[in-house]
This record gives sequence, C-alpha cells and structure tokens, in this order.
Amino acid sequence: MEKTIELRNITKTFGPVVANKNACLTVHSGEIMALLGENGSGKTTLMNMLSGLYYPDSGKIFINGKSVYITSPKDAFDYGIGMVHQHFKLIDVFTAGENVVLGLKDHFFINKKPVTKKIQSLLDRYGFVLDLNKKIYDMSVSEKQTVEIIKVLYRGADTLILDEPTAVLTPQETERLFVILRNMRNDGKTIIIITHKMQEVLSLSDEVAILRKGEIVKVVETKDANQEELADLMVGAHVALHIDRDLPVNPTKVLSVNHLTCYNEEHVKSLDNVSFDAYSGEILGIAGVSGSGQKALLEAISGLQKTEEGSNITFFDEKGKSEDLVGKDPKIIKHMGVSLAFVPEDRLGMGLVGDMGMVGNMLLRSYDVGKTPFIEVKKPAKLASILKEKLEVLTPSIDTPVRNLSGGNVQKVLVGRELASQPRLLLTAYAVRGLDINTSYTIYNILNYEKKQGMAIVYVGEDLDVLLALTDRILVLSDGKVTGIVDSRTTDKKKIGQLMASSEENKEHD
Amino acid sequence: MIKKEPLVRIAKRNDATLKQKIVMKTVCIGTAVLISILFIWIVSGKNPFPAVGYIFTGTFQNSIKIWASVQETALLLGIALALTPAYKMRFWNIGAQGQILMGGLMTAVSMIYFKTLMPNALVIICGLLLGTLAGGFWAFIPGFFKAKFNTNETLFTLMMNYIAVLIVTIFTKIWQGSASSLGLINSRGTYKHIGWLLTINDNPVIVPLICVLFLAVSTYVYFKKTKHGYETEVVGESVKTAKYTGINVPKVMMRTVALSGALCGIIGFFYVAGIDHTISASTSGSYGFTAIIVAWLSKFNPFVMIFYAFLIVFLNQGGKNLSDQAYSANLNEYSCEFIVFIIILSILLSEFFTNYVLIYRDRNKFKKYYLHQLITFGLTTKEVK
Repeated sequence: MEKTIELRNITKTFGPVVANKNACLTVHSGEIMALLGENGSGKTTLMNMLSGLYYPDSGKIFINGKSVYITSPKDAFDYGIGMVHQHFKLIDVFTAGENVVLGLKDHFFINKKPVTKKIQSLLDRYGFVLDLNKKIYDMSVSEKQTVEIIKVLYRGADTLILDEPTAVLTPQETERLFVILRNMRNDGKTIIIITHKMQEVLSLSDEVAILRKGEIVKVVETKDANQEELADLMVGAHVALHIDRDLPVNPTKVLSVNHLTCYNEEHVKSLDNVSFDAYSGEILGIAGVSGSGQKALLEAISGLQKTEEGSNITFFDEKGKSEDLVGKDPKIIKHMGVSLAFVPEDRLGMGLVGDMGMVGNMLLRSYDVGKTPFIEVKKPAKLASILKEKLEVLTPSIDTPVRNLSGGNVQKVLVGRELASQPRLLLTAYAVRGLDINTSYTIYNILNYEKKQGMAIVYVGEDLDVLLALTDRILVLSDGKVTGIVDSRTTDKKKIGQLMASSEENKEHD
Repeated sequence: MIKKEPLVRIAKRNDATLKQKIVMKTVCIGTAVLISILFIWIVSGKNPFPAVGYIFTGTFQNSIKIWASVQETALLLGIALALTPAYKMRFWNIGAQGQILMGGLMTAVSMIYFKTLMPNALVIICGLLLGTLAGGFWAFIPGFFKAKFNTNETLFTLMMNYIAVLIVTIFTKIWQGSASSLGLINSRGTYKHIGWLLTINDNPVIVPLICVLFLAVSTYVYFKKTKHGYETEVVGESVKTAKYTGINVPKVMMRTVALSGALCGIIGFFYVAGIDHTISASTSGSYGFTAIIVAWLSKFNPFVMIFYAFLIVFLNQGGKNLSDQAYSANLNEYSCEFIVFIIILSILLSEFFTNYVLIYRDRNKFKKYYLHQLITFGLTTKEVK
C-alpha cells in the first residue's frame, strides 16, 4: 500500500533553544530518506516527534493526507511508525526473542512456537542473521541493533526510523546493514536514516534532506548530490575538507606501554596484554568499535584505572629520564612532574564541572597550588580570558556555567585547559564527537600545531576517514586486544575494518 | 483511533526575567495567603482579619516576642548552614536532629559530670568541644560507610536520628531519677549556672546569634575562596570529575560530612548550654528537618537563608500565637501549622511556574485563552493566537 508521511511546519523549542523551526518533510513508501545534519541540527528531535516521544509546539503531521496526532510511541506504532534509537532499550538478561515480544499486550501467555516462527520469517525475509535464544548480554552491538530492528518490524511497522545506526558498527557490519535496508526498501517499507556521515548518505539513500539549525534547508535526490555540496549545505558556508599532515620530526619515545591488562567493574577484561609506544611529534590514532577498551586504555595511562600485575606504563621526559606510572593516581602523577594531559570522552561529566564557569574549570588543574588554604583565582581567570579570546569560545562571560555553552565551546574550554599546561603527552578521547564541522577542523588544526611543537598525541577516534587523514600511525583495538598497529599513510579503511573485527588469530604488528 | 492533541502540555522555559519571577512569586504567595484567610474564615466562622493580625503580633507584639523569634531564627539558620556543606556535596544528610542531640548530650554530660572538677569556663569549653566532636562523629559514621561502601546516606542518617533520640532518653531517665522530668541543669546550689553560656544583658540569644551570623559569612567564604570548599563542590557536581582531577573522594566526603555534623553539634551545644539549659529527646523539635527546606529554598546561599529562616519562624510564631489567643476553638495549633505549610508549598510551586510554562490545546478559543491567562497571569512568552 502506498503511504505518504508529511511533516508540515514543525516547530519545537526547549526553553530558549529552538530545536526545529518550520521543518517540512515528505517521505514516500519504498524509499530510503536520509536526514543529514550536524550534531544539534535537530534531526533526532524531528524524528522523536514522528515516533511520539515529543509533541511539536506547532505544525502538523499528515499520513496519507490526513492530519494525525501522535502523542506516544504506541500511537506511532498504530500508524506503522517505529524508531530504533541510538541507545538501545533492551533487557540484558532476556533472550532476543523475549525482547522482541516484550510489552505486547495481545496475549497474557505467550505461545512460543508461532511467535518464534513469525520472527524467524521476518529474519529470513530481509536476510538478518540472529540467534533468537541468545541472551542480550552475550551479544555484540550489531546483534543488539538487529534485535531492535526486529522489535520494530514485529510490531508491524512499515516505516522505520534509524538514529545514527552505523555509529557503533565496523565498516563490514555497516555494509551488511545497508544490504538489509535495501531489501526492506524493495519490499515497500519506508526507511528514514539519521546520520552525519556523508559517504553513507551517498551510498545508501534515495533522497537526502539536509537540516541546519533546526530547519530543513534542502531536499535533494542522492544521485544528483556530491560530498562537497552536501557539506556546504550542512554548514551553510563553504568548508575545506582537508587536513594537513606533516611527517613527524625527530620522534623520541615519550610513552611505553607493555603488557597492560585491566578489568572493568564487572570483572571482565577491558584490556588484554596491550603493548605500544608513543613518540613525540606524532599523532597515534586508536581505532576500534566503541567499547573495545579505548576508555580503559586512556584511563589506565592517566592513573584512573587499576591495572593488573605485570602491566607496565613508562613515561620518558625530555632528558630521557623514565618514570613508572603504574599504580599512581592522577595527583601523584602530576606531582611527579609528569606532564600529561587528558581530554576525556565525557566532557561535562568528567573533564569539566558543568555548574562552574570557565574560571572555576581552569581551577580544576591548579586549585591546589600554594600553601594557604585559600584558592588563587587570578591566574586561572587570566587563562580563561586568554582561551576565550584565542579559541573564540562563545560565552557571555568567563563565569557563565559551562553547562550552558554549546558542545563545541565546551570542548574548546576543555582542550584549551589541557593544552595550557603544555604537556609532553596529550591523550584525547573522541575529541570531535558532537562538534560541528568547523569546530572539528579547529581541533584538528590545534592538534597538528601541537604535534609540530613536538607533543606526543594519542587520538582515540571513531571516524575512520579522519583517523586515516590525521594520524601518523593507527593502533587497532578489538575486544581489549591490540590487533594491529599500522601506518596511516599506507593502509586503508578496509584493512582497518578487518583488524577492528578480528581477534587473536590474525594479530600482527608493523 | 483518532487522537486529539493533548489538553495541557508542560514546556520548560529559562527565559523568565527577574520581574516575571518576582510577579510570579508574589502571585503564588498571595494566592496561598488568600487560601489561608479563606481557611481561617471557614474553620472559625468569624471575621478572618483579626486572625491575620495575631499572626503578625506572634513576632512583633513586644520585645520579648521579637527576641523569641530572633532566637528561633538563629537556631534554624544555624542548622541550615550546618547542612550546607553536606548538601553542596549532594550528601543528603537528614540526620541533623540526631547530630544536634548528640552534641547537646555531650554538653549536658560536661555540665553534669565536670562541674566538680574544673572551673566554669573549662566546663563550657569542654561542652563545646565534646559537643562538636560528638555531632561530627555522629555524621562521620554514615559518611564513612558512604565513602567506603557507597551506602545510602538518607536511610543511614535517618536511622542515626532514632538511635540518638533513644540514647538521649536513656540518659535523661538516669539523670532525672524519680523526678518527672530532667529540669534545668545546675540551676541552683553551689554549682549554680556552671556550664551555662555567657549572657549579655541577661539575654542568652546574643552570643549564639553572633556565632551563627559568623557561620553564615564563613560558609560563604568557605565555598567561594577555600580549596576545601572547592573540592567539596567538585565532588558534589561529579565524582568522576573529582577523580579525574586527582581529588581523594572518600577523604573529602568523610571530611565534609563530619564538618556538617560538627556544626550541628555546635548548635546542640547552643541549645543546651545557651538556651534550654536542659536536654530532652525533643530539644531541637522538628528544626532538623525544617532546616532542610530553608537550605533548599535559598539554594544554599547563606545570606538568602537568613531571609527564609526568618520567614518560616515568623509563620510558626504567628501560628502559635493564633492558637494561644484562642481566637476560635477550631483554630488549634494544628490548623495553624496547616496554614504555615500552605504558604511554604506556594513558594515551592512558584519555582515550578517560573521554570515551566503550560501550553493548552485550542489556543484560539477564548475560554481557554482566559484560563491560560488566569493561571499563568499573562506571564507566558508564548504567542497566544
């Protein structure tokens, strides 16, 4: 059955923040529509209104020309609309099959056989591979995603909204997902995919709607689009998608990690016998599917994570003097004179204090200087003003709580503070996550500048294209193990994808 | 299956101006006052306005009443300030009552047992020291368990209250012997007024008042200017950030909670040595809990706390006066307390209306428009078409 979904003049505000402004969009069945936009451009908000999580402030939704009111996810399902969210909503101790039927009210008792049969037929129809009796906690991220998609299909949805589905997948898994999505489209389903990756848009979708600052600025047919044009539409100005990269100059060893093993809170190995070196004047990239041990690695080096016996982390200062970092907390490491800075993934939850202004946040690094019980505010205040000016941080004042700043400005404050200590080693986790294209390039430029000054940089990233363009070497983590350290100039995406998915058997070092 | 747009929706707003906030608060409190007057009128069946007068004279009738209110304000403010360090750290200490009682108990112990051993000044100093330590220790116990084993502090501090009440009851029973109550400690004989806090012009309130005001300033300075205060605030904001910075979280937690309890202990000392000169399980009444409201309403700003502490005391005293005056047999102390809480609730509600806005379906219909205007008092920034 032909089906048309139309969003007309949708506006949604959260306090002073306008998430969507007069957004209009028409989607037909049997097509894949990509919603492309930078973080914060209102893609997810718009789709949350279609799937019943939010209600628009003004504007209307029409299905087949009839005005409808969607006030809950259940309403959305009644209209055949289902959404797979970025953060999965599954019960860990249940099996895949149990999760699929969870919450359905038609029967008090569930007769397993016909249900399993129905789910299996759905799986076969589109080419999913899934063991229905497997528990969620035993599953990989990609399997969990499959369960989420099946959950939506089982509820009879013919319109599927996917929010950044590829963020957690390896390139190979992404390709597999795309095959399935194309099968579904050919079966007459409507697919809306939210993304900020342009290559995916070009390879998968039929139409692209570009969002900027909550508005749909343009809808184009994918076959007529190219990457530069899409980038310009997303940003609203011309952007140069190019990162300079120089060869490392006089690299000397700054950090040596040997046989590093850690356990997480659930006593599962988060890092398994990791060994590598980092050099001055070099950016070392860390690649891997999210949750492969990147966080544990950086936290272990900076003294936030307990390491197992036999682990060895050695830091070398300018004169080649070595310091052992194992078993030391961040304060001791700082007082040992080890110049190490860490830009963590969770900016407001770990790197900064959201309710404090820039000055208060500069203090985090220096509040304990001096012998008096009182804090010294002058220097941090000066540093805050300098950063505000130099990095163009948009904030009403240096005392405005950083919580109220945009993601990009929050990151500038954090990166600026960490670099202000002029460290010899800089650890960054997802330094550009959630940032707009321009701010991302500002960060790349800062990192490149510091690299030229001789800083050793460890860059944990998620976008393989950026990792390949920015870094000098890439260390690939899979399940807490190093599956390869490759030269970024000679390797390609396919090779890294294989390393990301591989385990022990094809372990190799360059 | 056709659904309608929801009747009322709530949306967040952060754009209320100061003027709008003030008007909103006035409207909310005004409404509460109107409801209270209506309540008095219905319950008593008499002209409610003299009753309103009695509420005012509860504080402002004469200097005795004024000083009584000042005393209560000082104590309530003191407890709210004592809670502030723990609350800034998001440690929900609801055990102020127990910490006060333990502080007061140790003060009483020093008054009773040390009077024969040392001069008056030393008895007082011992009482203060022991009281502070006891209060601090009483809070340190849940603080220790929270820091080491991440136990829930609300349940723990609440339980510590019950234990403190029982300990105090046991001691007062022992001390009172066959008497019906403990009575004033050291009230006559050789040891008359030993361990009693110094009075100025026979006024026992002035010394505690000065100390509490000093505490207000110190609290402000502590959180604005000191390293310890800064650490406490970072731990309260995010334990992860604190660890990332290298702050020893368990140490800061135990230190801050013990400080909070020690300050409560000092308030206990003021109760016993300065004001009551006796101790019972109900020494601090419900102030250990009322102070939580004071601390929250003022968003932990020590100077705003002075205002809210006085407001609550003023309402309490007014309510008490109203029932004392026997204006109407129906207006007993409970119905008076009811009025007090209606007004406190309205202050809390006004916070809601300054932070959220209501959006109605059929905004074009006159009736709804009118209702909308009435409820939000024309304060909404939303266009009403």
